[in-house]
Amino acid sequence: MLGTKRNLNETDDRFNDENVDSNNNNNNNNNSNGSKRFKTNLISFEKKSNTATTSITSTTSTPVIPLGSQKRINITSFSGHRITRVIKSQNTENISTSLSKSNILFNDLLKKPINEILEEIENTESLKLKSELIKNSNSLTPTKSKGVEELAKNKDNRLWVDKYAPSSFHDLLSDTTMNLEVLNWLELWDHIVFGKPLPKNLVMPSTFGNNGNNNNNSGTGGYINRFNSKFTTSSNSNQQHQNQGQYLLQEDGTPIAKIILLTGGPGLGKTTLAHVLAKQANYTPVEINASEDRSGEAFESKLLSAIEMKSLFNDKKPNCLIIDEIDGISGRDNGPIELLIKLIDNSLKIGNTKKSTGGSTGAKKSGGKDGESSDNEEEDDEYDEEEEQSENGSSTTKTTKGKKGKKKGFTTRLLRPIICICNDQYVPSLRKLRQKAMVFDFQAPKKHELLSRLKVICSNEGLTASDATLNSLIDMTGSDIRACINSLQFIKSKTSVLNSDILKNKSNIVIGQKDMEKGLVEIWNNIFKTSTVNNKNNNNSNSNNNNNNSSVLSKIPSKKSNESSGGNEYLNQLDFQIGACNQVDKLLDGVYENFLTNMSSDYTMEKTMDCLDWMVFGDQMLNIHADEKYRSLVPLAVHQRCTTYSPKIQLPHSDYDNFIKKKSNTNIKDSFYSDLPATIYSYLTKKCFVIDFIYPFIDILSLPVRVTNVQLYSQTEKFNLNRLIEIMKFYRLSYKLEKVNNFNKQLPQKKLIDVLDGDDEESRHKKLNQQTQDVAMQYKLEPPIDSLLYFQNQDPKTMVKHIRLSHSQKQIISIAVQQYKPPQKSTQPTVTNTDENQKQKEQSKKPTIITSKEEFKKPLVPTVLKDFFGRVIQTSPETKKKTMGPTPGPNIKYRFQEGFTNAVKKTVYVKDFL
Amino acid sequence: MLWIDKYKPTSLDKMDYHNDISINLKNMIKSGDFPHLLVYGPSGAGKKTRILAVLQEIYGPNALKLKIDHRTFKHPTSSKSIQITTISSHYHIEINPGEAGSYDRVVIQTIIKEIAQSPPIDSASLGAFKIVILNEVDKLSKDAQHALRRTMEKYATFCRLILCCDSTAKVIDPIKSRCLGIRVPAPSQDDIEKVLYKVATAEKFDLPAKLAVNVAKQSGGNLRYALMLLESQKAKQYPFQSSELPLLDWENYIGQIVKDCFEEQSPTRLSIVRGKLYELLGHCIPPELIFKTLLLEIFKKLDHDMKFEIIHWASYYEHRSQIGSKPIFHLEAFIAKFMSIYKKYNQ
Repeated sequence: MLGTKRNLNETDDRFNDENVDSNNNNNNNNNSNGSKRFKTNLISFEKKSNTATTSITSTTSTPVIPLGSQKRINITSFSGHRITRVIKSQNTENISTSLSKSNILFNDLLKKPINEILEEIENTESLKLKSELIKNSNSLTPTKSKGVEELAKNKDNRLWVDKYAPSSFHDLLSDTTMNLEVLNWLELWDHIVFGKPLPKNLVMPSTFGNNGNNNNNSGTGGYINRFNSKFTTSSNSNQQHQNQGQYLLQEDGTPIAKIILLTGGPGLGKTTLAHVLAKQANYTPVEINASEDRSGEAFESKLLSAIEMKSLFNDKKPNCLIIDEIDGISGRDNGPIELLIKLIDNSLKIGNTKKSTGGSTGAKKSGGKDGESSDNEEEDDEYDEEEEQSENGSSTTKTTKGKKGKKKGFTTRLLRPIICICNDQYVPSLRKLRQKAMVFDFQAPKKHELLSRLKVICSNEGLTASDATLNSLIDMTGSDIRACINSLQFIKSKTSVLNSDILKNKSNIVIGQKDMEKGLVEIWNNIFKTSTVNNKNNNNSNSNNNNNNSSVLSKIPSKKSNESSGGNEYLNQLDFQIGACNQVDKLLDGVYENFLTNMSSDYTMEKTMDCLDWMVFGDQMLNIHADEKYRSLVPLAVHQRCTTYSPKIQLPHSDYDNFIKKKSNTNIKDSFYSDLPATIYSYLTKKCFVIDFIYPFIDILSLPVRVTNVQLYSQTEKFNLNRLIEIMKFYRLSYKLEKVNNFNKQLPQKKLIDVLDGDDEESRHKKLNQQTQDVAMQYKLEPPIDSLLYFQNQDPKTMVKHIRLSHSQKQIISIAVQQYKPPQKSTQPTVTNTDENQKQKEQSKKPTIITSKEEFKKPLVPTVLKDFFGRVIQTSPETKKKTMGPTPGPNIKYRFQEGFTNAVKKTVYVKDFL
Repeated sequence: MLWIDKYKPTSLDKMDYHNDISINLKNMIKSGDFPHLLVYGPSGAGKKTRILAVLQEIYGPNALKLKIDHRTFKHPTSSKSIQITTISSHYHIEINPGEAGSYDRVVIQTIIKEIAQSPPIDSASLGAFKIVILNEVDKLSKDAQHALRRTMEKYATFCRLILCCDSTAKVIDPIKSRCLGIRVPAPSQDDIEKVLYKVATAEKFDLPAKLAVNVAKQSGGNLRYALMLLESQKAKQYPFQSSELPLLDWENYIGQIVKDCFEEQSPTRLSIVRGKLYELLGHCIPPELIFKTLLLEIFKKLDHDMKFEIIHWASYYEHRSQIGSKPIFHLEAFIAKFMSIYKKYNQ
């Protein structure tokens, strides 16, 4: 059984066309197809109309491609037409016959009464005749060809690109398999949008749904990803695909993949595909161009209106949203994409939590309503079901009560297909969306298909061009359909004959080669790879090498080159690639990092030197000329000096590593400077610090103190230690006890052992190593300026030897520093009375917070020593006692709390509290 | 306190060397007014010490009561905010505009304008102007220097600039002409030794003559380094046993690089050297200093004939590295050049 209602009109037209010029010369196309395809069916159509009777006797057809919901067959006629038909399975038919025998003729076999079809055909035929009449009256009788239908209606007014834009599924140039997959996805929505019966075998079972619910993002995302990979890679493994993709729908009938993302280079027909398929599937395509509506609100209103409403005028078809150039929504304002993702998540959740009561779950109300417009009759039953459903639904957001309860918040479920289109799916802002969406990666159309299309256009427009010329045009544009057609139109405006000279002669033609963005790695590879022709000219090496390298040339789109100019040709291509690359900095970094390893042999170092000279030149040009004209020459120069047959390319990282290292070192330095006393700060510039200050300074800090009790130190030892502490205090340094994990700790210890030459010391440090392993704590200088000392890859013999303090030595110093603190910290003394008992009693009376001013004014402590900054200097307890002793009145305990207060300060005397 | 801080002279009278400069400065201050100053000379020669001594000479000891401020200001046009540290007393302010990176021009204009707009509070008694000290003027971008040119004249009534830099080579001529240049040369070896002995007597320890000579020699006219070196030696080994002195770590490291270059000249060796050069740059060692040290290290082992060629190329690449922005290219190019020349010479 063949034929769906939707396709019927078009096929009728199509066959009529064929009838008109059935003897057209399209064998070329047929041959190429026929080699792969085999005859499977003989399908005959018989159709009666007023004007003509068409019959096709034989067709070639592709194997059945079972995808998604329906099995389809791809039929290609001898004249190059591709037609896709849904094969209805025998089973469903049987069921339907048993259910309603009376309806079978109208509903299942043809979906439409035959007289209706005939009427439609009549109408279209008459339209066609009319248009032909108009054409004839204009005395323009282009040879009409099939596949391109609406030619030359109003000639020269439109761009050829628009004029020859495919209007039906069969005109699409992109990969048929993928087209079908997209179409299938669109048809998955049929249930929810048009209210068609739910294909049960596709519904995700509830177990799966629960899983998906538990970890919503990862589960479904993973699933979709798996799904994606299938789409992009396999077109052959149909059987497998069916198994994998059988659960395409959620329980509520919405497809699991809510959104599809079409990606691919410009001019491959993504937008066209989306529009054509949307029309094909009976939707009104609504395009939101993200490059126009970038702001969040504008986008949101457009989006919601597109999803929820439908046009009054356009045939009352439901909308299919096409978001074009979604990668144009970039970085700063990611609102629109967030919105989309929210929408998807929301509907996923709802879909999964929903419990299905019957075999066919209810479509959402609006979905059913839209279905009304399509002339399907079974909806009324579904409405009832759906109302029950919505009561049961556990989701909070979904509150559809009756038919008219049209409530949509932002939390709506997604009930319309959304197609997103972008050039680069790896744009950062699309990262989240990519995980949720089903991704279709567009490849360049098959050359012969594009070629035949171009030929059709040429013949229609009266442009003579040979196949070879058109082929090279395709090559030049990188199979960009749009660019090809535009170029043709441009050429037509100049001349009516397109020959290879026009294309080749660069001075004549203005068609630019399309900037193809090659991956950086590929460019690096090409730079360091010996070109074939160079090889031939210079070395006369054997054919084996030539074979290997010819692949390099073939990779790069090339015009035919004769042998003598071959070297230049390769350089030109390389130049072109580099010019097309927009990351010249990165490119140069990569060249710099890789050229030494790929330098084959350079005994005199001349070549290396030359390469580096070029790098220097490039670096100079960076600041002199803002444009990258000169810098892009550098890789070419390197290429001429340094190539190998099998280049090893590493991604450049050392420059970045160095940057990070420098930054961390600078940070250490800055943290040292951050609380340096002003006098030092002024004298010691940061440059000097690194150059000549830090190294001896560290030596001074690592005073080899004796590891015993500090009390046992001799006079000089004590003096030295004190001095060290003073210095450390002055420069705001301290030792901090830090937990180090084993791995990190081992390293410095090993270094330490390397450094010390003496055997005794070495063994000592080994012991120390073990010891610290147990402790797992290490003293570190804070800020860790000593780390500025270490240079990597030092020759241990000639290395400068610094004394590294042992753990215990550091401990002694650290303790000494801490003990030194109290006299320094005298700035916030707690002046307490000695009598503890009294203190307790006074507790209640004591004010908790007294500002410093009060303290100074307090008569009880007449002599408060202050340092320059007005801070109190602590006096020894004895002197305190003395001053406190004679004071009359009760003993008062007070505490000075350091800190800043915004409170209003008022002079309060102590006597006020008494 | 470190000795360098402890024994830093605070007034012009107490300077240990270059007394003629001190006398000139004193006379200049006595005359009541002086032009903008451009103090230049090698690192560790005592530029900053003299500048602060001049301040003290003008304003008295209060000028040395410094405080640090971390200030942020708004870029006038863009929304970016710039952070900079200022050191100031009542009478002067010291900034290092280089900290602001490419925004140094903004910093200079804002700060100087801010200071110079209001006359000093106490204009009668002391100098009728405030002083702005700009450090590392040679690191200023050309933009900033040109901006400085106008500012210097416009606010000359209330404000004197003291510019401080290592070399005037990168200071544009208009600025040089607006300033009185004061060169503070590196102290001679004798000067340094004298200071060393002075410190030794004050700290009450014996300084062997040989060690003093070695320290003075190694310091290369950098008094700060000389004192630090002596102090580190004192901490390491006292009483002094040997008069052998360790090199600075990075100098030593460059020595190793040069050794690598002499051992083998090949692309593979060059890539090892590259790693080490990166390491040096990562330690914030300025590339021009690396160039200089590389050259000096190479000279130690080089035949006389080749020296001219090498020195030519060293200056060639150093100059280019000043123009360019990636010092590693230039350093490596110089090494490659050297390897190539050396290899040819040996054949």
